[in-house]
Amino acid sequence: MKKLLLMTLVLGLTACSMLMPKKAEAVTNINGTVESRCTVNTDTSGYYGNPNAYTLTTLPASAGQVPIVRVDTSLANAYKAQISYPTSFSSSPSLSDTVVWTGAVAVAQTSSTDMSGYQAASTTADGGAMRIYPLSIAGATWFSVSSVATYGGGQQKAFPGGSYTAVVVAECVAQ
Amino acid sequence: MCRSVILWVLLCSSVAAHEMTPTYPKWEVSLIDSVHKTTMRIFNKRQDVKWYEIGVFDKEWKPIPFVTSYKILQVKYLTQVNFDVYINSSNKDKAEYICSLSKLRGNNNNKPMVASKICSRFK
Amino acid sequence: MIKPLILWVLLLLPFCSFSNYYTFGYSGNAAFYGNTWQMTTPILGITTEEGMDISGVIYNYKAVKEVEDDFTVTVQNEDIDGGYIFQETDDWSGKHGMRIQKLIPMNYTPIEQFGKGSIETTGTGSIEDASVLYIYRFDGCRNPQNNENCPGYVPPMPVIPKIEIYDALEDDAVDDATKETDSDLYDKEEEESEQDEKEEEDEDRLELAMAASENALTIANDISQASLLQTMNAATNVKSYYVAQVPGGVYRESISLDGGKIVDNRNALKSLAQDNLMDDMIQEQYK
Repeated sequence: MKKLLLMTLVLGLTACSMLMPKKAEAVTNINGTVESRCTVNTDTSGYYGNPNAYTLTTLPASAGQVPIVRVDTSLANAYKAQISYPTSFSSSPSLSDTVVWTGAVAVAQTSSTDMSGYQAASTTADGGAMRIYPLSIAGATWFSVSSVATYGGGQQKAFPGGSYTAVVVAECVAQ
Repeated sequence: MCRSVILWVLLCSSVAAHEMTPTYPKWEVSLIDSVHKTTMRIFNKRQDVKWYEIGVFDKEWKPIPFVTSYKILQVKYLTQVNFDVYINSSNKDKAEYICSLSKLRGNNNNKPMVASKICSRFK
Repeated sequence: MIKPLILWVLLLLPFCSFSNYYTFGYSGNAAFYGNTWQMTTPILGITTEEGMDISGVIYNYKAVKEVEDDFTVTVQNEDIDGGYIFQETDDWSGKHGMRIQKLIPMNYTPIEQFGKGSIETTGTGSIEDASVLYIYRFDGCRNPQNNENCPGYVPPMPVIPKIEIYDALEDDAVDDATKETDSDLYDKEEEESEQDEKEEEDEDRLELAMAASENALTIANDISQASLLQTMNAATNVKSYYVAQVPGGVYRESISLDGGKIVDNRNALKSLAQDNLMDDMIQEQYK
């Protein structure tokens, strides 16, 4: 057993020493390619505050937290970002009445001054819940997504007790 | 200078990211007659997501039939998965987008989750 | 068989060893106290000693301006040898003001090379909530004396305190104190005192002489001398003091103690062995 363990150690170290360069004896190439890509990141996860019985909101003034999504693109005019605020709960207790959804998507921060026109150049879709940004400049763009859910269709009914989860959708579509 | 700044931004991105390449894939002839295929790659940097659903769509965002090894792929945190997408040759020209959508698991807190979707386009 | 294997393991072990004395991180917000700053530890929150290299800068601020106004913001660090280590300008002219975040990569640059850092603006507008962070790599062993595990570390020699031995012979104060006094000084004083005494004596003699001359007749009279003596002796009669008696008394002992018989302690016989031990212990100190 001891011999076996020792043999294993010897073989491993031999391999290790052979792999470790003692000094640069030859030029070693590192190959790679740079290709266009779009990355969607969750910079800040959101949180619903409950300022009153019939409202769930991400507003900081109501103890909520606005989710922030970052979209990185390495090539200008290759992608468009489509960010949607929630229009339904992905999980919740049984709700017998309607829920009214409002929200807003805005550019919170950019990595280039040339992106300052993104908000003005954006368009909406899906009844206004989705905002589409042509990513005409390579770099990183941070989007804030605020969301408010009101129960009762204007009658201000209290939300049933339980856990509520909604989903912000961030899409990066090749142009 | 600008490009070097961009690369640094990408390399130093946060740990909650999802990407799919290539941006503009191309259909290739496969070993099977009347079937075309393309190879895509997903890299998962989202610790809260392990599964991604694959979809192929036309210009109006209507789904097009396709085949992969799994339609919902498991991509572990900080790993990259290559997968082949097979499509009927007759649908090759209709296919406009191929997308990967993060599949979120429910949680017991009041946090709005972020679902990420990346779509590549056939040119 | 095993011995050669062990030797082989020991021989290969150094080739597989790794040494890494680098630590990486971010500084604090250099622009926390204002739009100009020095690269010092109180401002950055990181050490500025030898081995600290800067590999990048991340800055973030919000530009507040009107769309039509011209406005530029420049984030920069001076080079102590002249010029700037980096200088990044954001041109907001004709654009909406908003928050921006940028990363400026650079080669590993020693922090000693960095001069004053600043955020400069031109045009109409302002910036809010500026944040400038430096990405660093610290080589803990660039100065081997920083850590005893660094290669080339030399254990410092202990400091031997210098003891100054006092030499009284070299003390100027002692020298002055032991110098021979100038004889002229004290001889003169002695002469003066002798002269004073002589003068006094002469005066006394003169007084006596004059007193004697005035009372010459009285002194010569024997009878008056005898009466003088008798008067003097009367004052010395002490017989009354011999007769006087001082009443005394006897102070008798008032406290008496009842005695008793002191019996030999039988237990003492048992402790004889302990005495031997005691003796041995006492003798031990003389060995």
